[in-house]
Amino acid sequence: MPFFLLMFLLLGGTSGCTAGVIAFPSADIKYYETKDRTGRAVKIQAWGICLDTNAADAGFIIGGTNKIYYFEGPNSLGKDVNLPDLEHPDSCKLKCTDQDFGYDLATLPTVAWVNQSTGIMIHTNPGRIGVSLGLSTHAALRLPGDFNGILFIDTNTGKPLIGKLYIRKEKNK
Amino acid sequence: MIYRVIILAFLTLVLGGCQENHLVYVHDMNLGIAVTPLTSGGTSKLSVGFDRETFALAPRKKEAKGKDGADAMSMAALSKVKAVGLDEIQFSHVIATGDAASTVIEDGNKLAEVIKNFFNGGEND
Repeated sequence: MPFFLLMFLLLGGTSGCTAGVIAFPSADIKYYETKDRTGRAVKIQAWGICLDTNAADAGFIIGGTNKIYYFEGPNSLGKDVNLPDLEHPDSCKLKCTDQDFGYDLATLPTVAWVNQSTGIMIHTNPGRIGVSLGLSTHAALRLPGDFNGILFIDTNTGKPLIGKLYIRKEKNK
Repeated sequence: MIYRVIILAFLTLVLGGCQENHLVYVHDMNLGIAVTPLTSGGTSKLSVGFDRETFALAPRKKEAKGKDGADAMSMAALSKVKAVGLDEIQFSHVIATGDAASTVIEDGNKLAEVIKNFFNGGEND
């Protein structure tokens, strides 16, 4: 048992810790961004033993999990807070990028997340503490109480597509 | 790294249920056994079989001195959450808060068009 724990920390820890997930034996992490850079997403597919340290959806899973976390992009802060531009519908589609955002997902504020997990799940996040066994599907959004702006999100837990995201906000007065 | 994980796990346990400062919308589905000693609503739960729950929380503004109570935050929201089968949830929202809420409400036609054009469950057309 200590051997497996050591392997889990060494192998998984080196592969996925920057994305907030430590998984053994497998963790696949992909990064997404909208064209207008108002929204970003990180998709994590892992199976085996998985420890998720993202504050929004922290927990421990033995089985398989498919998670997508949504964040504000670098261009989300501005003055022209309005709905997505209908003339440029592609601007809010999340597209895969090779760029590692360098995020520390364990501490970065997540505005929305969806996940689908199977197996044994131990939930240790602010929204839920407990244990589940079987299939679990979870979709949530969480905005700070002082958020002053617009969030648009369109996603689906059952499809490999990441969907659309648009976040535009003003500085608090 | 491991110390950070332990500290984070401890904090999340201690702070369980503390969501009152956030606008929250949650859709949750479980098939199997789920034991939740403390939910966001502050109650315990044991479910065996199929269980689905949806809830939303809107925070209140900070109370001003000398005034009784406080208003809820300004918000305009439209949600489309559609569950298909056991593992598929279409999760679509438009949420505007603060000054942007007024802008969105005033431009109702554009809001309707955005929803019509973009709310299709993550499909990239």
